[in-house]
Amino acid sequence: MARLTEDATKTLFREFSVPVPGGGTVATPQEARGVAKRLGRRVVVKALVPAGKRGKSGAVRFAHDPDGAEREARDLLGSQVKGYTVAKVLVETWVQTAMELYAAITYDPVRRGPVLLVSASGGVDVEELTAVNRTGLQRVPLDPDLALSEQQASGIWAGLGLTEPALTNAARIVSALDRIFKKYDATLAEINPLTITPDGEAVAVGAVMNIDDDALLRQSGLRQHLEFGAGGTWRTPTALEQQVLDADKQYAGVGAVRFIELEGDIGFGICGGGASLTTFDAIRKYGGKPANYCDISPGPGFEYKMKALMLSILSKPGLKGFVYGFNILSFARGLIVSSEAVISAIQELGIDTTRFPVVARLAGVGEERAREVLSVLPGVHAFGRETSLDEVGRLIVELTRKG
Amino acid sequence: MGILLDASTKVIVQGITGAQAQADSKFCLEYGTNIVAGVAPGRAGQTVHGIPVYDTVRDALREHDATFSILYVPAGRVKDAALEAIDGGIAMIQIISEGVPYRDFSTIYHAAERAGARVNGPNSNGIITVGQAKIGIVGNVIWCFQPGRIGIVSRSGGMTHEIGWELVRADMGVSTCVSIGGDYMIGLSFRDVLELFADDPGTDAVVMLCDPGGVYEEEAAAFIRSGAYAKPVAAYIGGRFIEEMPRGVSFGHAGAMIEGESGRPSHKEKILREAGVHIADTISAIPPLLVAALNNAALLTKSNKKGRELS
Repeated sequence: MARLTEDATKTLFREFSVPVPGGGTVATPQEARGVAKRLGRRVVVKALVPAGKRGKSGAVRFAHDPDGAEREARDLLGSQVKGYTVAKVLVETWVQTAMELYAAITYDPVRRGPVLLVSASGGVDVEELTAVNRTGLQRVPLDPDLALSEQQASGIWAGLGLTEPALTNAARIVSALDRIFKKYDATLAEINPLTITPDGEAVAVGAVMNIDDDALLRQSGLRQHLEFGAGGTWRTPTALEQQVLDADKQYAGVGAVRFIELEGDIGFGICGGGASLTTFDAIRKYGGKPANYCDISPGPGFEYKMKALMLSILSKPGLKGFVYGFNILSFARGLIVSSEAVISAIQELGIDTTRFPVVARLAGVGEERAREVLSVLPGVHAFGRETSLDEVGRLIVELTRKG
Repeated sequence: MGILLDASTKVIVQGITGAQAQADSKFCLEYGTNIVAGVAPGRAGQTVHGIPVYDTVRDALREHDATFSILYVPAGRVKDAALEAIDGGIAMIQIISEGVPYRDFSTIYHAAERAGARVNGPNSNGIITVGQAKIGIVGNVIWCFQPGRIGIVSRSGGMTHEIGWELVRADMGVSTCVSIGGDYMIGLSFRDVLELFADDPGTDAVVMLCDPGGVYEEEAAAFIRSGAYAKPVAAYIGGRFIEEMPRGVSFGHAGAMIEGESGRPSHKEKILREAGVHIADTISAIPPLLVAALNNAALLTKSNKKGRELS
């Protein structure tokens, strides 16, 4: 899931005439002062990181004047907010508030369709979206293809007690939100708070969008807004992670390779969703600490990506052992290509496999041939169908303990 | 008679000229699946392993009766291909393709619902009715499944071969195995397949292979508690480690992402246990759990019978 920062989200909102606070994105305290001066009133300074609950992390500040804006921006820029380094902040007009509403659109997996969540008592935690019985939060199923009309939206807000002029203004925004949600392949489009001013104007003061990773290929307009990649990490990628992200980009779209660095000493090369979850669980259960998580699917550039992945896994300093392989495969090439990638990385890094434990689980069509290929490395423990993934996890932990 | 597929089911393969489709189709034909036609735009007149290829679903259905379609088309074209199949009257759409956008899937699902058709997947490895027919990747490794009376429903495609193999090693067999797919939103969910297994005289117990994220395990638990499904269930939940990881990041499959409190494996375990599901710590632990559960069920039936005789 690719997260859009608040300023990018508001840029898209503006295209659909959704009112947002005036302001600008800046990268220096001086620029912050400049924007605050231009706005000429009380401002809000917000760290632009793709994370939620920024208010609670102290990443949303208030300033009465340009001096204050410069001060808050200086404090925020370069600081860490929820694992991300703050490179930019949003300086915006503070909006006078009579009421705070909440409106979000996301997918309901049981209905297999979009759902609108609305509340007239705003300030909802994103995590509470998934809570089933949250009082005051109404869930309205939406059509997957036809956007919610302003009239339908009016009916919904009227039911929550809104009256004119706020009613029409809020309805207009929610109808636009559904159009935005659909146009940009969002998995979440949230306005929190949707502020009603004393005059009854509706303004999207807090806004965030998550975009469906699988739709990025057809959302070329969003590319400029997406900094953190679709690989799905929770922080700025490490150097090794970036290597794999770069390899993935060479053949973008199909057969994605993923690599997430963790704190541990067992290099983890078990691929295939279920197999990787099972074996990772096994290693943890038996007291080991995987040094990374990974995954790869067959597709164009499979060999290239596999090489990049295995090299990155094995390049991490401090490894005491390495396990790789898959669930029982009918795709013989997977067993061979992964083994060749491992051999290539081991040789390139000059690893002595008689002293550095390597466990391979190669089972399925072509398992004997794959083990033959692997036998060029001395001392490798290769297993096939007779050994379960759980057992393979136990073995690598035992072997790394011995060393 | 399988719950979704058997030797008499007529199948078309959309995207048949792709590498995976060709490889799988060969395994499926050898297994006995009745693949009657393939669809690949611009390739009409060609054959794949003897299967005639047509430009469109409509063309294929003009020549052949088919009720089941398997889709291997690239993710960006799945929506059009699925809608084409639904339009053509196909009752069961099996989507192998991974990476189908949420919006597209939602459109497909609702179109299928309106037409009274079913969808399995996306990102699903297919279905096997052991000894009769198979479609997709499941069962390509033929020694992983022997005929029997255990049903399998799994979010992980690859793990279906692992559990099938463990059952073979324990001298047990499988009636039908359904890979429902690893995405956040899927067609047939655990609940839907349990409903089919509940009415299947060929299945005595079911294995659920579960993942973190989403709500389908919880939906299944509620279904079991309602009494609509009464046979024994053993479940394995993978990805426990995800509870220690930051929220909102997917591991394993697109759908295996925890957001907020729901979706946590420990929560799923609790909910499933409360519904009477037997939780296995490892895949290998599943066969003994099934044996124990089936023996208990048999004893219960015996004592019920005795009770009725005495009274």
